[in-house]
Amino acid sequence: MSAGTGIATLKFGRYTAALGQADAAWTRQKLASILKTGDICYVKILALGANGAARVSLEQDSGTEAALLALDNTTGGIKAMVRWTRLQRIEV
Amino acid sequence: MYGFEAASEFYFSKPARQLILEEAALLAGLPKSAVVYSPINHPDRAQKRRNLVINAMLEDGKITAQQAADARSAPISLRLAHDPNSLAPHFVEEIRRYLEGKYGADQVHEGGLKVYTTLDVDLQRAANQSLLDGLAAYERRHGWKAHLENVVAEGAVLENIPIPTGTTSPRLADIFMAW
Repeated sequence: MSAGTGIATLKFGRYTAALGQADAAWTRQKLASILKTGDICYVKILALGANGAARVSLEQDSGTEAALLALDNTTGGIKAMVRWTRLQRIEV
Repeated sequence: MYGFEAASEFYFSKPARQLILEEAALLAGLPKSAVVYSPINHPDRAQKRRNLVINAMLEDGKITAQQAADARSAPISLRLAHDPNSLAPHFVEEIRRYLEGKYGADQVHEGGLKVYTTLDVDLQRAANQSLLDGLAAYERRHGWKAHLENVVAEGAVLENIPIPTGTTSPRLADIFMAW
């Protein structure tokens, strides 16, 4: 990403997105103090434009892990199973 | 991801028999470590390793010097497939292990088995999204503490950095790495 005056420009795939101070309000920090040019950050995709412009919100991954297992009470069969770790997201 | 055929589909979106020399050489170099030599995350390392394989093929007399030179100078050009096993990879892995234990690896990979499971695709999709959203909410509650990886600080030129992993086909509400 490249960080300018109060606006951070992010790229992923063929898409480009701009982050403003309001998009990072939850961090309670100035955008310029948490993002600098070349940083790799996590974003949630809010909208994808046909012209390659996207809207995103700033997220983070501090290493928190989570898992979910949904069982069918009557049969014991697994209905859904999720394991989410940092490694899984970065791994190819 | 298992096997040469699967890797061929994943990295180049075509069956292995249609691979050209430099593509096949790239895949041949991956088994040592698909993470260290990842053509997505480390294209420079992948290219060096690929060229090592090409040189070995030349030494073995499998290709001509001209073919080797052409293949070595070719840039790495991927056509990533959207991972068909991205919906429930851990569940599928459990099933694979179970099947291999019961029927053997050959039967599982080449026997053309039809496998029926208890997984509910709609529920799995909802579970994936809710866990992702829940994690994002948890992260926000605990405030900003990211120690971000910085590609410029690592000595790279911004314009030359490949697209971060997993961004080949972004979908709404997904959480992705961006730079």
